[in-house]
Amino acid sequence: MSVAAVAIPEREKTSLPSGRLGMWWFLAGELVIFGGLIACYVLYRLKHADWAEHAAHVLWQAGAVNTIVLLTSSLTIVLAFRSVDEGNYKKAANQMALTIAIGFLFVVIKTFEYTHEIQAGITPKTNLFWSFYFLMTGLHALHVVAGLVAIAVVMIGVRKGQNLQRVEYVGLYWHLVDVIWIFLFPLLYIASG
Amino acid sequence: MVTPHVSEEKHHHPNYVAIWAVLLALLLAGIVVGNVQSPVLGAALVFGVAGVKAYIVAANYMHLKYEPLFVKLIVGSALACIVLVLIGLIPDVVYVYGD
Repeated sequence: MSVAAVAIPEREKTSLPSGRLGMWWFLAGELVIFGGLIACYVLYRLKHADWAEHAAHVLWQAGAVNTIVLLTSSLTIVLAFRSVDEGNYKKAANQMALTIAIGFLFVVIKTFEYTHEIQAGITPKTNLFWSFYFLMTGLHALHVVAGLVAIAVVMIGVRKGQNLQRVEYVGLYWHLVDVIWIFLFPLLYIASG
Repeated sequence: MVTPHVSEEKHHHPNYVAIWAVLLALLLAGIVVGNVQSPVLGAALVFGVAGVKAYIVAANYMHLKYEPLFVKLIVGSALACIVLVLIGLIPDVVYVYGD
């Protein structure tokens, strides 16, 4: 199959493709949402030394494994982007499928954690620490699920050789989900104790 | 014939696997320093390591270091907003709710 690249129009002022520019603005908004939550949590945590007792019940091992899982999925999606650049679309689609599988593993482990906590009688209503915990990790998990759907949609296009620039955009979103978890893990699992 | 929509610009591709190995090493380092005796020092070290990891992901996987100044300003403005939220919340948490 012969493949002809079609240049994406760029914004004159920024020399950036419109899609990538729009994605960066979107990510900036996401950053403020999670940053605001993290700022609230840090301030309340400094005020409540007793949260250390509650934090002792989180499964830090599961959180650590999930960090490895997300870092690995970030690797596979950026490798997919490189494969697109190299013109190897089939390899890119396979790497995206691997990203979806690894991302799904994150959701499975998170579900296991929630089940463990709820069976121990811990819910968002238990106290303010657990309200923050479920809100921040739950909102993050929703972003993971949204990312998995987005990657799947883009992957279908890549298999047909269509809209290849979207691999970079969906990758940017997935890396942000990773960056947010990089802060949530020490915040809720390591430093809280 | 399929004509894929792909930008003609050349992207930089550092050694992604080596970067992934560094991130895993930093994860281990973060867990280790989180167990130091001083809680304040431990928290500072843990967040320091997290900051380095986030920078590595943003700079290399998100290619932020190759982006033009405009993109860096977008990210910087978001981070500035977070700092403003943090400062704005201090009186509410420390002087109202806490006491």
